[in-house]
Amino acid sequence: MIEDDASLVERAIRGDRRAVDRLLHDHYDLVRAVCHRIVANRADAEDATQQAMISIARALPRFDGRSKFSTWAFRIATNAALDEIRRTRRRPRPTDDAVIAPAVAPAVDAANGLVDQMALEAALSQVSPEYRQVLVLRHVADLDYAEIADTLGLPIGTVRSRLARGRSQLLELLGNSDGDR
Amino acid sequence: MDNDDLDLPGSLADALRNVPPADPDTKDAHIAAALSAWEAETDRPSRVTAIDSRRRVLLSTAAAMLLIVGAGIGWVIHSPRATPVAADVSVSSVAPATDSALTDQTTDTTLAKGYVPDEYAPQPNSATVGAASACGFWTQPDLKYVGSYSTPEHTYVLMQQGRTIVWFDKDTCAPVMTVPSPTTSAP
Repeated sequence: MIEDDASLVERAIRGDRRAVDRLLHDHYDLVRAVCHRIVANRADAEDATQQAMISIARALPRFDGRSKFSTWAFRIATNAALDEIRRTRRRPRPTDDAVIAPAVAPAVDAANGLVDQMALEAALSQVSPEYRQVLVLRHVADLDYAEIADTLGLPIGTVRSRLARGRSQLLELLGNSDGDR
Repeated sequence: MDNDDLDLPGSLADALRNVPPADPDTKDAHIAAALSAWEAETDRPSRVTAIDSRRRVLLSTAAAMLLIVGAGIGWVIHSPRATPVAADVSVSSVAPATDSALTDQTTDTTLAKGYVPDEYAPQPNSATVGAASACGFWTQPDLKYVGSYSTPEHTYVLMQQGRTIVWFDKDTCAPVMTVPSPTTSAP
């Protein structure tokens, strides 16, 4: 039987372990994707994902239903990812970090329009975190401006301006890596 | 209406969404850890509720005991038969008694006294003496044995410390609560 989030959440809040398990499974991939794109470092992103899942599960008994469950979960995932960024800034980064893209391939293949993942990750890691998180919530979590504003606790106007600046930064970084060759 | 001009080009947006999938073992481990955290979290409210109701029982019991003890002090002080013991109530230099002194001389005036005169002092039993000894209370000169109180679930050792009475859990030696002492003079 296909069950929607609302009824799963209701059962989970009443203490139904299977409902909690189902919610965690259903939202894991997107939560992980949000963490990966915000953290922009694969190893650290897994830590952020773990922390996000634990935080979601612990906060679940107190979920008040004022927003969609997915929006609420993305807020927790965003915070976990930003916490991970703050933690990793305090330690030296390994030289063979996966986000360092090879300098040979263009970010976007002119023939088929496919984007090189490593180049994308390298460029994304250079976008300011405050712009990056908006880009990720918009394009990975598929939230609209109001939902992003609610998730981040920002005015919609700020969401729009950060989206515009993030878009501009990312395109410039991808365009530069393409133009340098 | 959201402005599509602010969105990334389609191929770039698709690539951004296209995060390589998690290793199945990693996914299972993450979800298992989250479920454990959820179980720990959902257990906590019932423990808090139990602790809160236990505190309420203890507080009301403490209040009742203080009233009884206070009445006892008042009776002793004002009774024509009682010898003056006010000076003894404020004794601060009584050395902590040893276990054997307590168990063998339960009415001896060398017992470590609280604020209650000897004839009305609660008599320690072997369980509470042993607990107080195991918890190291006799080695602390600022603690004076007052009494004990038992519920079906727990036994508490009451020790006076300055102007307060501290209730210690007999099994964990941990302080459970503190109530003001009814006496105006410190031991």
